[in-house]
Amino acid sequence: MRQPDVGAAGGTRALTAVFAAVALSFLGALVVWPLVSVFQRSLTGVGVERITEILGRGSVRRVVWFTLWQALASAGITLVIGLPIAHVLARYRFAGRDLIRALAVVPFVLPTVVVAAALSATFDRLRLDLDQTVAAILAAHVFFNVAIVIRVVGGFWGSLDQRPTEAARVLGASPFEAFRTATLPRLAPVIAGAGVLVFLFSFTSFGVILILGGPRRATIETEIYRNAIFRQEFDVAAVLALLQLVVVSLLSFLVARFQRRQARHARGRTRAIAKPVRGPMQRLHVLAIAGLALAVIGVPVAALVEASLRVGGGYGVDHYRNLFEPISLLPVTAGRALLTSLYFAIGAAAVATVVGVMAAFAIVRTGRLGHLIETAALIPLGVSAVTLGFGYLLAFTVLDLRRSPWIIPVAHAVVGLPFVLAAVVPALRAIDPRLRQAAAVLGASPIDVLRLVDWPLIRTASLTGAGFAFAISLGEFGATSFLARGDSAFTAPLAIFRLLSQPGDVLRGRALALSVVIGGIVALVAAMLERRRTDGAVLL
Amino acid sequence: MTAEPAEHEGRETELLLQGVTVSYGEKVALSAVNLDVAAEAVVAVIGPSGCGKSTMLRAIAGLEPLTEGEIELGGRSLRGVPTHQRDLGLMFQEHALFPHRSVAGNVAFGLERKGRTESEIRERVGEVLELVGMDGFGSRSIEALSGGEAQRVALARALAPTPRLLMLDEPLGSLDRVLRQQLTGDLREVFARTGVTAIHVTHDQSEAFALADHVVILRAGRIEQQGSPADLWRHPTSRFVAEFLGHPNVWEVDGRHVLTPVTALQPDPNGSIVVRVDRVEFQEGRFRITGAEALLVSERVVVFDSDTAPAVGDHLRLALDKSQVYPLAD
Amino acid sequence: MKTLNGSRFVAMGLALAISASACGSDAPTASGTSDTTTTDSASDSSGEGGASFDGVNLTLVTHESFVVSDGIFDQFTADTGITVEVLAAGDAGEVVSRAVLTAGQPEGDVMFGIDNTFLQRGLDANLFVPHESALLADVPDELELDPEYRVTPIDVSDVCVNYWIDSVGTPPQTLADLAKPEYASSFVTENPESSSPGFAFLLATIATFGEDGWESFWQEMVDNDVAITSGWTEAYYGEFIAGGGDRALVTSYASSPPAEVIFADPPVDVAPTGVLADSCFRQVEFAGILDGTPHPEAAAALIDFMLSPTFQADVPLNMFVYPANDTVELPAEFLEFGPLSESPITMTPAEIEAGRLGWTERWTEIVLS
Repeated sequence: MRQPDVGAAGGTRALTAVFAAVALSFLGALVVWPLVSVFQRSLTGVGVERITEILGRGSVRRVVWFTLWQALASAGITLVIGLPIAHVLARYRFAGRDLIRALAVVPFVLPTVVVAAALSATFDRLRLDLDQTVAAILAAHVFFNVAIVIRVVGGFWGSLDQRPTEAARVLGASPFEAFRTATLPRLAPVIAGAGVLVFLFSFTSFGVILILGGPRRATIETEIYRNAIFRQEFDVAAVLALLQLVVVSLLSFLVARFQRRQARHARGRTRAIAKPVRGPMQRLHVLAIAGLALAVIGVPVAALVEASLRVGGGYGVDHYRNLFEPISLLPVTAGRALLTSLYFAIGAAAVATVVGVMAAFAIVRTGRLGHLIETAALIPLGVSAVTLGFGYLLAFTVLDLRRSPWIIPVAHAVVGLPFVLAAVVPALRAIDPRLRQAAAVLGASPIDVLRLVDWPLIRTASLTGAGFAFAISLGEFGATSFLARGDSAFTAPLAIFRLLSQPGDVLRGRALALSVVIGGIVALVAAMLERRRTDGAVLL
Repeated sequence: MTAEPAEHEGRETELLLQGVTVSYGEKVALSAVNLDVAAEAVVAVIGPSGCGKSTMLRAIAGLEPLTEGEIELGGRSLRGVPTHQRDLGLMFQEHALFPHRSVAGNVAFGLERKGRTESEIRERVGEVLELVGMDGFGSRSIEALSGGEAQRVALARALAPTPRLLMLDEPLGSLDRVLRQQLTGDLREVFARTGVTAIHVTHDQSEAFALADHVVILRAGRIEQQGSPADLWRHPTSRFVAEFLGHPNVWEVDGRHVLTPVTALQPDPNGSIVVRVDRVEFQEGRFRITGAEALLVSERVVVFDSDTAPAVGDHLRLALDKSQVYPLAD
Repeated sequence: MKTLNGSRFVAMGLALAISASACGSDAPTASGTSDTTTTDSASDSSGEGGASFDGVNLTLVTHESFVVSDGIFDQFTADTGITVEVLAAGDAGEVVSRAVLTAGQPEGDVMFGIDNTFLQRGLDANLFVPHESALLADVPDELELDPEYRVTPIDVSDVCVNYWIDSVGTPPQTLADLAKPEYASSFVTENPESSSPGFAFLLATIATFGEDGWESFWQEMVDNDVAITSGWTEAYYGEFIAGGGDRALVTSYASSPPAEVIFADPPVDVAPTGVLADSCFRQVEFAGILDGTPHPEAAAALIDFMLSPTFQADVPLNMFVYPANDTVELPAEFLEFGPLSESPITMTPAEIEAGRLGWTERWTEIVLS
């Protein structure tokens, strides 16, 4: 047989191979290797009987059960609340829309301890006695994660071709039927993707469980910490960490498969044109949903802002003015920590976006390999910060990278990566492959195709992902706290926790002010991304 | 199979396919296809869906790797030449225009890749938009176009860089009948005015016959027959071709298939064939009659033309000019 | 999850372990080098023969509460030629767990921040090499908890019950008073498994009431509606009156009243909180030379420096702990509002380690279920 003629496919394949290699090296070095190291160190010499004994414990079963159901409930409630908000924000034009969109990402970056305080204050004001209850945990998870649904699903929804839905309406389907038969199948992959992200965040949530759930609630995550740190029973912690790994791998495998199967429905996206609100029914609908969004997100945020302005008996901006004043307890000023956080967040967003876009191409263009990348990318969200932290500690002994300052933004990028993928992969799948073929035939090299066809069509999605990676990095505490660092790597969330580790209104005021500033920065970045979205002449 | 020369009329060969085979594992999409297309010729490739028409275009474009065979364009082998260096134009069934670019931006795409200057591009974009009847649409966005307009822009985009070969993959397939007829005429004019060498893939034989100098009929990845439209119509070699082109009266006689052209049947009171009239249509000044001839165990459909209209249910006698009947390969 | 059987986990664990041995185990030790200065270990070892350690860069591994004034190590560097890099992460418990996991390939040369509640673990894991500092002469003997000098006491603090003076009425005088009806629903403390002061307070009750009495004391506390939080911040800022809660008694530190004055807004002259002296459990933080350091002598010099008056005087206002070196003068607020207890409750590190898991499990049963 003569050698097959590869034609243009060769160049594209080479590019895909490069992208896959980058994604695999990134995930291999920063996820797989550390995990392998930590399991090797903590499970060497641990017998089968010991592992079965640990797994057989009633307490372990109860913890696993509670972890799974609270995460599932959190994801479910977040979707139920988030989807109508995503719909209204994507489809209608009304005053306050941009504000709600920008506000939605604020909770995402607020430190748990501060959110807990804000939520407690809100509960008290509503005369709800939710202290140390599961309801408080679920409420916090919804508050934290509703942004994921609003942004990831809403972004896609906004650019979804409405003609099939309209066609269904013309054919006599009720609005709900039209949604169910024409819109939902196309949205399903993105909803599943967002749902999984919320599930995993709730699955490994640590601060919320401890602070709002109180000492009586334990999840796999908190048990890993208790066993690894307080009890120093590393084998028990490792078995629990393996459990997490199994759950997250299984889940991400199934979801990736589902998304692949559903992908065909998502083809053919056009520019989103949000409609003005018409008629009393629509006005009522938009008002109700916008009210819901403001209640879920705005009220606790407002409580936080109010608390940060409290000075002595009255109100003032003293705490904000003093952010750059040195204070004992902190190795650098709060303002300096904020700048460090900003640098890290920009770096993390850049790394996550570049690697994420490459990984997205590899995921879409390869079969099993893509599936593997997709699964591996979700793992950091589903395993404990303790596990990964110890993993970095052990793995990076080799090159003594474990205390290099860049390890922090890179670790943040690892957590941000799934968000870039959640936004970019569906957008990439939705691109009609004939556009690339048309471009190639017209003389575009594989790199030209990437630059002139794919990139313009995934730019909005990439920016959404970058925004999330930025926000995650800015608010990240668990992993950062676990990674050894010098003063130059002291971030704002660390400063907030440190300030709240001693008594004194000055400390608390400054911690709250710093939290508000972090939230404000993220809202600002979100608003800027929003502007880019509407400024672009022709969009997805 | 050897390459049957197309209607060259003394022109150079522009595109040459020799033994082109494309297979995906066990499945063979295109099998040992030979084709010789003269410069400035318009070749139509027709066949039922799944026959390999689109695969053929994709193979020429380099979007589908060849399992075997050789493709030459303008005397140069395309082996190892990536798609973007093949100097082709391709038009898809559904325009496949870039949604993030304006009409002019789409048309300019290929020119930009060729490194033309801005003023050259502007001039050429205006020229081709005018050619396809879309002048003044340059700044429109793609979403604002109707289906027919989008296809015109797609044609302009494909033509703009003056490709060596223009390939059209069912370009009118998604349009309604009236629009399709109108655009078929427009395409014909554009082909004539530009003198472009073109391969036009369609499943609609009337579209093919209206546009092409040379028609290729594909069946299950093989070329079943090729020739000028008139030759093909007059001399289909196989039952498949005859039926695909819409010939009625493909009959099985003694286990073999024969084609009885409509012209071979004349109403004649002394005729040997008796048919019961089932349907009468008026076509081009004559009546086309579809009837059934009762055989021993079954009925066979007989189509013939008549100057007078019989009533449905009438029995008529027909004379058969046996010299016109000829056998078909299966 | 019930359908997953144990053997699959084992198989997975083994597979991971096998694949890991290829890349993880033979790693060269690279500790002691820094990414800012290049350290030549050959010239370093010759340097250690004399008094100067020019070019040696030491890494001080510590918890994230470690704060010192800017430039505190400058004089040390000028005197010895040693530069110090601080590597902070996690809380005290995490620092110990990290060191245990990386034993033999330490993250740095000196560890600071292991306290008496975790000390035995560090000693059992052979994390440290001995060094008897001459400055121990200025440190009270009762702080020297390791007779082999593997660790050196650097600072002291007391975990004590704090009360909000305006709301508590008559402050309790003893731990036992906390179970009295007048303090019903008034006390909040932390879960000993997730909070360092919470654990210290549990130890205080065990030391006070003895193996036979502590459980019934906690039962009475439960009956008296004690509140439990996971950490100090939720207790102090969530439940305690200082943070807007409604409880007048909280487990905190002896240094909390001085902090209430120093960080008051607007400024105050008198601390709003007081300390129940009888409840104070003594915490001692140590530094030790990590086994595996290529610079044990330079590390010893650093420990001596940390015990010197320069460093010791810097400790109170940055970390809100008390210097171990008792020749150093305390800040005025500490003297006035936060004296260390004169009769603190103590327990040996070995006792703490031996009792830890049993006590906390028992406590969880009594208090949380």
